[in-house]
Amino acid sequence: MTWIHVYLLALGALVTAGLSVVSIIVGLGIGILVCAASLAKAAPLRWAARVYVSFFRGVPLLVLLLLIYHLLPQIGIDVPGVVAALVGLTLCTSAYQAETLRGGFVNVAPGLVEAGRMIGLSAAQVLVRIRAPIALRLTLPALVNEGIMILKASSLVSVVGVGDITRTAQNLSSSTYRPIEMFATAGLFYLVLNFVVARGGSGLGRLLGLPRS
Amino acid sequence: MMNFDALTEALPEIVDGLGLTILIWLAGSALSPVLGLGIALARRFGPVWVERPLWAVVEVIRGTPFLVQIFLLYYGGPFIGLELDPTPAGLLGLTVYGAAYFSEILRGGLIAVPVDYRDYRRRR
Repeated sequence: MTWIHVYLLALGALVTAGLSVVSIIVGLGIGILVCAASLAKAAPLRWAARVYVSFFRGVPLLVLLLLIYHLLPQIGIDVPGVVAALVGLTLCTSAYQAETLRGGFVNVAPGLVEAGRMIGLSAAQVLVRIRAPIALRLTLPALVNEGIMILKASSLVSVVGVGDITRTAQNLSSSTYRPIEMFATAGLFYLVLNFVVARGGSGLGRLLGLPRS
Repeated sequence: MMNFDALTEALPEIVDGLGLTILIWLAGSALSPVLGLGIALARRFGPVWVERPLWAVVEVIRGTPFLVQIFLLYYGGPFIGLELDPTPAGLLGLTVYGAAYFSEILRGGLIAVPVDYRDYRRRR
C-alpha cells in the first residue's frame, strides 16, 4: 500500500461525500414537499404521500439503484451511473426525511399553535414562526442521523459503476491483492466523514439552541 | 424491450434467493440481539479495560458501511486465516453489525434504570 493508493481512496471519498451531500440536500427539499402533502387536508394528497413514503422506504436502496440503472435504459432513457446513483439516493432519503419531518410537525404542541392564532397570527405566520421552527428543533437529531445513514448507504452506489470510495477500494484490492489494507482504509475515511457530519450536526444544534447531548 | 421469458426462467432461482434472504434475516435477527445484549452488559457492568475496547468496536461498526465490513470479512478474512463461505460470512457480518446497534439500544435501557430501583431490590 503506497501513497498513490491513499490518494485514489481519498478521491473516492470525495465522490462519496459529494453524492451524499447533494442527495441529502435535494432529498430534504423533496422531503419537505412530501411531508406537506402528508399533512394536507386533501385526502388524495395524503394517500399519494403515503404511497411515496412506503414505496421508497420499503424497497432496499440496492434494489432501487439497480432498478434505476437497468430499467430506465430499457424505456429509452440512458442514465449514466452517477445520475442513477444520485436519483436513487435522493428518492430513498427524501422518503425517510419526509417521515421524520412529519413526526416533528405532528409533535408540535397544539396549544402553541392555538396561542399563535389567538394573538392574531395568520395560518402562514403560525407555520413560519411557530410550527416550522419547533418541528426543525424536534427533528434535527434525526435528520443528522439520516445524513450519517446516507453517507454509509452511499457505499451501495458502487454497484452501478460509480467510482466512490467503496468501488475504489474494491478495484484496488483486486489489482494489488491487498483487501485488508484497502477496505480498512476505506472504513477509516468513512469514520472521518461521519465524525465531521456528527460534529456539524451538534454545531447546528447549538445554533438552534438545543441542549448539548 | 424487456424480455419476460428471462424472468420466468429465472423465477425458481429468485425464489431460492428469497428463501436465503428470509433465512439470513431470521438467523441474524435471532443472533444479533443475543450478542448485542452481551456487549451491552459487558459495557454497563464490566471493568474499564472491557468497556473501552468494546466502545471502539461498536463505534467503528456503526460508523462504517455494512458493505465495506462484509468485503473486509470475506475478501480480507483469508489473509488472517478466516476462510468463510459466502453464506456464513454474510450471516457473521450481519450478526456483528446488528449486535452493535442492538447493544446501543439495550445499553440505553440499562443506563435508564434508576439507581433507586436497584437499591430497592437489595434492601428487600
